[in-house]
Amino acid sequence: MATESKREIVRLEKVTKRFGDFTALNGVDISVTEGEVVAIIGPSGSGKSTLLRTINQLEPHDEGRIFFDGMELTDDSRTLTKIRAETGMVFQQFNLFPHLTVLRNIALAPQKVHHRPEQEAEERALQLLDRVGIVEQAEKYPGQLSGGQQQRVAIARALAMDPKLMMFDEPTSALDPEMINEVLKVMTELAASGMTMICVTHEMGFARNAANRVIFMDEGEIVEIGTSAEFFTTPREPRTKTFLDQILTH
Amino acid sequence: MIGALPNASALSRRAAHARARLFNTRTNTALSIVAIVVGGALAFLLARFILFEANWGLVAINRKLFFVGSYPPDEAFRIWIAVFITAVLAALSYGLWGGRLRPYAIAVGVTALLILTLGLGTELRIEERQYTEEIQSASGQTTTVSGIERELVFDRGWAPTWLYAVSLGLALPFGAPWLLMAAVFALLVVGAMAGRRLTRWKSNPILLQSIGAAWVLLIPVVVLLQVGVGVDKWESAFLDLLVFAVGGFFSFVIGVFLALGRRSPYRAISVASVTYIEVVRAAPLLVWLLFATFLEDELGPVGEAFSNISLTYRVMVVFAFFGGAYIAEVVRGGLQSIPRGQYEAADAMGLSPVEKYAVIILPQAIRAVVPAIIGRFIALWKDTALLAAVSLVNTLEKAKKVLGSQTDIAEGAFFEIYIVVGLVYWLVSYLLSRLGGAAETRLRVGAR
Ligand SMILES: Nc1ncnc2c1ncn2[C@@H]1O[C@H](COP(=O)(O)OP(=O)(O)O)[C@@H](O)[C@H]1O
Ligand SMILES: [Mg+2]
Repeated sequence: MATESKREIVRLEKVTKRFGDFTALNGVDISVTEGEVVAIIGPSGSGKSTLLRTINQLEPHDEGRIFFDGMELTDDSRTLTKIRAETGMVFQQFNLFPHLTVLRNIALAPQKVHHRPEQEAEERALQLLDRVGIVEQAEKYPGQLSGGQQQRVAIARALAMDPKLMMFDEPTSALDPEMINEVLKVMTELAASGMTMICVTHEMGFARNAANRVIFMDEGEIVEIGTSAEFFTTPREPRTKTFLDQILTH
Repeated sequence: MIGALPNASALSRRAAHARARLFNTRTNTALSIVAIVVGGALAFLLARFILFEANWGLVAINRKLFFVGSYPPDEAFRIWIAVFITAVLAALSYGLWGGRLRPYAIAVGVTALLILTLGLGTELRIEERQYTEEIQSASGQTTTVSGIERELVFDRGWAPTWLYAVSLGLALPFGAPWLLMAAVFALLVVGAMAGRRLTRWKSNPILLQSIGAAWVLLIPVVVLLQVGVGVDKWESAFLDLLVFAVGGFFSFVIGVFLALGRRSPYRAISVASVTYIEVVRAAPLLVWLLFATFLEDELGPVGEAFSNISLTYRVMVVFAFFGGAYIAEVVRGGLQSIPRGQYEAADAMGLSPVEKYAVIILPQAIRAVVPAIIGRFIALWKDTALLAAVSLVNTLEKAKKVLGSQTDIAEGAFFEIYIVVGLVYWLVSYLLSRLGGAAETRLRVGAR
């Protein structure tokens, strides 16, 4: 657990999200402090993606309160601008911009959102590409890269905004098995570097080794939160046990 | 140079291919023979007409009318300036990005130069002859009729007349000194070479933006050049080209905004866009053109103001708004092809809605529908034929006037005249479709 002195980056209080009559998130409470790595696991349709998407307001929440770095997210568009400029998101399907080169994909947001000069933004983009190990692909288009390379570009793109929080939504689920590790390696290094991260993942190895805490969700609710050590060895809730049995025994 | 000739084995392969495809069954063989005979006969008749029978002198002597109509000769410099700027821009762009068009450009250039050279020094004139004729009437009386007979005469006789006609048309489209035309050629060549030199920077955004801006600015510059002459003087192919260029450009802009308006979260905007698109597409262009012509003060002050504008401008407005409705539907298709993840990625990184559409969504959506957009442009170009219906003198109308007013030398020359009209429409359509093809391949780089 994070110590008291650590800054709180995100706090959700009784957050509820509905799609019509269907409640996708039901009174969720979470707090993530600076430098913490939180893994979210749970069956498909349990609301994991929705949870991430309410944090950066791709899906505005219906009830409850969300705080980001001490600021509550409200209808005021300035809070929206801030949360999006200061969080990075990595999607299952990469969602790179196919008509822009890898370099432009990464340099775009810093230029447009942070108003960095082009040269500075591109230099930084090259540094980030170096960090994720594909600096030689800078001038290629996303369609010319492998899935693993594309996802590493997506991570570099999210990092280019110097985010206070990185969110990953099943970043390895669309990858061929042989490419999963190259992405997990980048994520593990990022976690070790002190980045605050929330990762929805089915990679239990990553959850166990790189995450400080693990959250288990089911039917729009948080069923169990524990440190990664406790969570896998001594789960308390029967639903958690069933889920872990299902995914760990095959 | 232009492409290696297929070697012998390729030829025999083709022959084998033809045998297998065209003469494999009895029915197929019969059909092929009929097609070859009919096609061959048509080709023979056409060739005989073009090479030996046609009165191309008529076309040659009226070439200026076909290009610019009765534009005041003293003001011709305004058109020449426009031609010069266009030539430089076209050549620069071709040199920079036109790699795929090279074979076509070389073929067109070499042919044009050959024909030009052949035509130099050729003289074409109308000879007038005094004639006297004695006519015997039925009652046995003899009357003497006299008058002036006009005849077209070519001065040199060693090449077929059609070659002279084409060369004159090319060399002196505006009845201008051939020096000016040579200058255009020189600009084309120098521009293309300069463009080739610059290829190193062909992806440089500043170069891209400035040449793009120059193309866009070309339209207002050409229009502004007419201040002092007045757009009422525009006729023939020049009129068609300008109505198409102005109408086409603004129809694209309007179309993009309508397509975006259609999916606006504000209901008022989306309903207005859909209504506009549906209403405009419900009636043919001709009807809208007639509205623009006869709309006097029916619409109160707005209509009055509108009817005070020169008809040529009103027609351009109609073209822009009419074409816009169709382009909107094309662009809508493009927008629908963009996956939701693209919007989400743009939102998640904090781009504003305007940035999201301008940088991420529209460039992809428009790329996806380049062929359909080019198709709309070609349709719009050919729709300029309708200008005749609202008493503007377009190429078609000018052709009719030539036939109607020069009855002595134009007698029965419908075919020659309409072939030229058809060529004017075809040439621009063809250039548009080649350009579209080149744009498509170039833009495909990096598509998913
Ligand atoms: N935009 C939406 N409209 C309607 N239902 C949605 C929407 N997004 C998600 N849902 C529903 O909410 C539930 C949770 O979805 P999601 O958060 O994507 O689950 P997970 O990521 O855990 O698989 C699912 O039942 C899904 O069908
Ligand atoms: Mg999900």
